[in-house]
Amino acid sequence: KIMSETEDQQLEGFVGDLHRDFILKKAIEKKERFEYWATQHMRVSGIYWGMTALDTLNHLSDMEDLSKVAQFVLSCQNEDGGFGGNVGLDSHLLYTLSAIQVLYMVDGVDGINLDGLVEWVASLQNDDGSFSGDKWGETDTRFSYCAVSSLSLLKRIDAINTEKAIDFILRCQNFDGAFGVNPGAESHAGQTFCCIGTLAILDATDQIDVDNLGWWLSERQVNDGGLNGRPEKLADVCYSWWVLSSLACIGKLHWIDKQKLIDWIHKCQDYETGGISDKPQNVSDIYHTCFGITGLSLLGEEGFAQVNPKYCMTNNTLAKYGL
Amino acid sequence: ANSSLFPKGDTMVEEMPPYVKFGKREEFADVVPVLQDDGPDPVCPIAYTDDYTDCMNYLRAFFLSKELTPRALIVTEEAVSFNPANYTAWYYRRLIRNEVGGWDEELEIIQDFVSENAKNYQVWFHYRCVIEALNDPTDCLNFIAEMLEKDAKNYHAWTIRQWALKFFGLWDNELEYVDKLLNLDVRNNSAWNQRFFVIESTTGYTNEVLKAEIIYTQEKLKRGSNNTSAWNYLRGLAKVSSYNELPEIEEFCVEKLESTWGITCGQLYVTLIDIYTKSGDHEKLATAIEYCEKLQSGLDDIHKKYWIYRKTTLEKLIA
Repeated sequence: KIMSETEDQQLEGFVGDLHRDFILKKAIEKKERFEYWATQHMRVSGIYWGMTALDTLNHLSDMEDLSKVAQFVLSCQNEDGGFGGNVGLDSHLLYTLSAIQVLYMVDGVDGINLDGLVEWVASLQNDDGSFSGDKWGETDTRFSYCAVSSLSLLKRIDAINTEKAIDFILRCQNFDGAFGVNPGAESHAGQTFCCIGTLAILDATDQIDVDNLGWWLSERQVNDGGLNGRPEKLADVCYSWWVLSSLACIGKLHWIDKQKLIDWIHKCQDYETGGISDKPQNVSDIYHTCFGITGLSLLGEEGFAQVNPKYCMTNNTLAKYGL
Repeated sequence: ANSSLFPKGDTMVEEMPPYVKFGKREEFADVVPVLQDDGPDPVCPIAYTDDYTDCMNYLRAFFLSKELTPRALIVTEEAVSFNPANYTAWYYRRLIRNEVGGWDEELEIIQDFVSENAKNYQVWFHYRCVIEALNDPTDCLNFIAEMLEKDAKNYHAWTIRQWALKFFGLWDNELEYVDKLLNLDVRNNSAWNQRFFVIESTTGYTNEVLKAEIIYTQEKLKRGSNNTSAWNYLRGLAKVSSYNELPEIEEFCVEKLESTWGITCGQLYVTLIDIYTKSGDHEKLATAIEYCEKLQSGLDDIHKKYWIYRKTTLEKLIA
């Protein structure tokens, strides 16, 4: 990254307007770049990340043609009831959740084939309570979260076996108190958020040792203030969300040194082009912009909309459909 | 395999003849491409390169017609070469292979993709599907070990490795492999977790095994005391059993207090606090409180807030 005449100046503070511009440009830019067709399979998630960031910055209204976004996302719903990452792509739980979250923000929920979606999600639950991402059967605690969050947002959680869903999550808790992708897999902050989010939505966080988990989570904070995803690894901005939201769900957000983390996230901003990157001095992208901003919201950054730690959506947006 | 253009960053590395649009290929003359329907005024449009657009138009045509033939395979290979995360293209390949066979060839192809795209979910899952279809794990562990050589903490690699071990029951040499990795990097958290996974899945943590593992971990700690993963593992052993059943852990820690670890090693105090909290002994609880203060005031001040909470909890226990 080339810094201009501001190089000598100490760069501080949150540059929200630059991020807003960065996101809006990404949404409408028609550049022929590898980056675009390398992410076309997850277009719906990309929209979710961008819009959630805008929503948290209270700039959702700066985005034009929300009804067109609704139209596009709804066109990603397939005959089997699930949503694909883009038009014509197979249904997957990951993109189904993103689709619902976007439709919440653009008032498009009523356009969903609801029964079809619910039936499809329910069909993905396995005997052991886990969820497959799609008909090919891969299980992953991420998919438990996507299923539970999706149905919760649509108020159809009764369509799945919640007891078994909880059982499976509990089996994924490791000796260190945190959670992995499947039983026995290494504890990882992203997977942990998916498990804790699932338990929180199902009102079952009392079934785990939260002190133990809380310690593992707060231990993710490394000396420079950032958060990593596993012991002995480097800090990355997206963990600001995965770790913080988990801590918030179990009521231990105060175990983090907030100011040090805020300062570290600020350093990950691109003061020239806007956007936030995974680490200081790297190239910014929509994904890290979203989670850096939602993380800062949880940390109490001024002027931000309140983000709900269970859903990674603003409370304003959730209130639209009475959640 | 027809063409293999492996994108690396913004440049395309051509290994075979340049891309020829499907419209110009004789064997595809009868196929009518299906254009992406973005609607009249596409929202969030992506400008694809011409070649990719061409490829996707033909992929859609084949997919909709449900043709499961070798030439369909060619189209999917182009598609994943452009975008290895195109999961629909990978699905379709599996459907085609189920029909026409050639899983051995598929293994070679997917191994190349995994090597080039080691952080991509879709290629790893496809690799697993191929191994399953072949029902032959012969080179599987070796291949994953090669990937781990490049990145010893690759979460996908470990996930698939755990799957293969369970599915085929390949436990025999895994602990030895874990040991080898820990010798290369004693702080590899994935390897420590794998240790736990293997033992739980085979012998289980019998008394004999616990004792041996304590010695093993202590040896590894001597290579570097500030090793979160090793200390987590040690405390994990006590969780499977208890500190009462494994008094050597407390003995080890108390002994190490006298050494330089007492000055430099925060995790030593973290562990003693854990031991003393669970002991219920008032004197030990008081010591644990002292240790919390030690951690919060310098030895682990980034986690100060946590240690303040911990101290308060302990104080309540004594009161």
